[in-house]
Parts: sequence; C-alpha cells; structure tokens
Amino acid sequence: MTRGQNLTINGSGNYPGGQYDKISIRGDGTINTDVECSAFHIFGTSEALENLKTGSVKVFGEAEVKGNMESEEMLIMGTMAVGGRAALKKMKILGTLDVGENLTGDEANIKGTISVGGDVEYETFESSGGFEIKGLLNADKINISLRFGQSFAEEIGGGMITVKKKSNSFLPFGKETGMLTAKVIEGDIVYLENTKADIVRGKKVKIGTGCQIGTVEYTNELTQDQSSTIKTKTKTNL
Amino acid sequence: MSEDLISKKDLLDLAGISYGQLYRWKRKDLIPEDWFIRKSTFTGQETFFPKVKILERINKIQMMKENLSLDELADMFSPNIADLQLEKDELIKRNIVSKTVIDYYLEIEKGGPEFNFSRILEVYVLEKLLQSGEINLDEGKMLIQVLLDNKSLIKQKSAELVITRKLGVSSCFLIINTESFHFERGTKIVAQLSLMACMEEIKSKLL
Repeated sequence: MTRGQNLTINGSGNYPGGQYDKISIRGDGTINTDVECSAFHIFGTSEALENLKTGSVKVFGEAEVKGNMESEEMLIMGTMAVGGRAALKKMKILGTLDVGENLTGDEANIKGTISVGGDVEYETFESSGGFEIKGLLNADKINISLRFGQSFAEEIGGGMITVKKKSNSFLPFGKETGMLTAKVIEGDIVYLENTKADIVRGKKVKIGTGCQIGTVEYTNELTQDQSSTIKTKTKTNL
Repeated sequence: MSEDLISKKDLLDLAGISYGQLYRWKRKDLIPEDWFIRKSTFTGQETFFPKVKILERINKIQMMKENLSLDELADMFSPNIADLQLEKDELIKRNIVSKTVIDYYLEIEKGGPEFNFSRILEVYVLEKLLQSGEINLDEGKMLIQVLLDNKSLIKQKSAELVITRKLGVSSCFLIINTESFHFERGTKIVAQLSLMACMEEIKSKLL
C-alpha cells in the first residue's frame, strides 16, 4: 500500500479523506470523503461519510462507515456499522458489527453479534455469538455454537454445516441456550441442534436434540434424535 | 420469463455435483446471482435456475477446473478483464491473431508490443474481418480508427460494428445498444459483428 502520512485525531476533528498510512482516532473523528489507509485504529468514535479501504482495522470504540468498506484483517471489540457492502477478508468480532448490504470474505469468527441486511459469503464461518442475516449465509464450513439468544438467517447453504448448542459455562444461573431459525438449510453434511427450519436438504443429515424441522430431504442417510420433530422426511436419489 | 427452469435438486442430480460445490461456485461468482430464482413450491421454498444456461456453465466449469483455479475461472466469466496484459508474440502463438495482421495494426495504431484487453479486441476484430476476406486493408484501417476513437464506449455497452459499401465507397459504423438499423437501397452491408460476442470468443481462446 502506498505510504502516506499518518492521521491521528486526539480530541475531536473533521478531516478530508484521501490516502494515509495509519489512521488512529482517540477522540471523536469524522472523515468526509473516500479514505484509503494501511491501518485504521479507533479507540473513540469515528465516522467515515463515504467509503473506507484499509489493510487492518481495530475498533475498540465505535466506528461507522456510511458507504462501502474493504479490509484485509479486522478486529472489533466495540461496535462497527457499515451502511453499504463490506468485504472483510479475515474478521474477528467480539463486539457487534452491522452491515447494510452484503458481507463477504474468507474467514469469519464471531463471538459477539453481527447483523447483515444482505447475503453473507465466507469460506469458513464460525460463530459462538449471535447473528441476524436477512439473506443467504453461504460458506464452505459453517460452525455455529449456540450460546445465547436467537440467531436467524433466511437461508443457510454450504458444504459442511454444524450447529451445536453450548451451555453458558460462566453464567450458571438459567439453563437457557440459544436457538437458530432459518427457512432453508442446505449442505452436504448437516448436523443440527436447537434449530427451527422449514426445509433441510443434504446428503448426510443428522438432527440432534431440540429441533423442529418441517421437511428433511436427504440422499444418503438421516438420523434423528427422539426429542426433535420432523414433519416429513423424503429420501431422494442422486 | 418463458425460459425452461430446473430446480436445484434436479440440477445437482443431473450435473453430479454437491451442495458444497454449487455454493462455492456461487461464492466465487462463477454463477451469477440473478440465475438463482427463488420460488415457493408446495413443499416449501426451492431455488430454480435457467436450465440451458446453468447446465452449459457447469459443464464449462467442470471442464476447465482441472487446469485453472476457481479465481482464474471467475475472471474468465466476469466481464471485468481489465488487468489482462499480453505480449504481441503471445497473441500470435495462441492463434488469436496472425503476424501480418498484428503488424498492420501496430502500423496504424503505433502502440507498444504490450496488449491490454481493449487492444486485443481491436486487433482480433481486424483479424477476423480481414481473414474472412470481407473487408480490404483500407477498410481495416478505417475500422481501427473507429474502434480507437470510441474506446470508452465499447467497454461498457453492447456494441455492434457494421461496415457498409455503396457504389464502391465504404463506411464503418459503431452502433451502441440498438435494436435494429436500416439503410437505403443499394447499400450493401459487408460485415456485421457483435463486439460482445468477440470478447467472449477471445476469452475462451485465452484459456
């Protein structure tokens, strides 16, 4: 990436966009136009009124990008909101992330929560937090641990899909575990727990405890836990 | 929409691919988003595809994925080929153009031996029309001039190239996004070429 100047805002400031090397905002900063930088560190509050393109992002405070965003590596401990599309190659979310349109990348690790207005496309998608996806969650490996709350996706599709419940180890009171709701789940190997879905399609489908499934369409094998309900099961030939 | 549709299940069955593969190809943009047609059926929600298009595409992917990575394949299917650069010798070696034509092109255009996609397209169109004997060298010169002058237009729109002759005088038109065109009597259309189709041809030749 081109080496420009650093931009540091301690206190509050309003700056134009452009190319920078490192941007760090410790107070309250606003960037008015498109901005490109190698690192973007937010400890306070920041707002980019247009697009942001960067190498690495760290957000400990609050960050908002009104347009589209692109980054190689991202760590969010605070909150981040992107109005448009977001291409985040490798992301780790311990706080919250809000994306207005589609979210794409290679590796997603979610321990906090994300909410996405469009589709989500990753190679590996791991979540032990919560998510709300209005479109399709598409990843080769999908690993979901349900710890708390409601997770939702309109559709889930991929190669290997695993959904497991996980009890809260450090909050002993309340035996509550999370729940996943989706309309359609499609994968080659599918394992589900605590899931509500209208349709599940797959080669090898395993329905664990606490599921309510409308229809399961499978080609090779289906196993079902007694505590779960499946209204109709059909075996199709491939 | 009177196109023949195929459901996802039937498609996987017919093509012998897995959900994982299909979703991976979708992620890599090998299959365009608007081919995924969601419909509710009596068994619930189901995704359909335009049958002829998707089968042809899957066939291509399966044939070529042996030699190419998925990212390279994606470049090929997407219309964005901006970063393609080829040497003059490479173009001749790959049988995209002949040496005579490329030399003639360089004589008119006076550019270097590095070809980006829009230059490849120009020289390819020239090659095609000259080799088929539809136009002569002077008309070729005129044609290149038209393509060079309108470089920016060609990139983004579906453009068509028409060469006409009347009473031995020829002219060349670049037509953007039109449904049809007509000439007066006595005008002969010598050649008509869709540049979009040419781009596709080049792409498939390159890989």
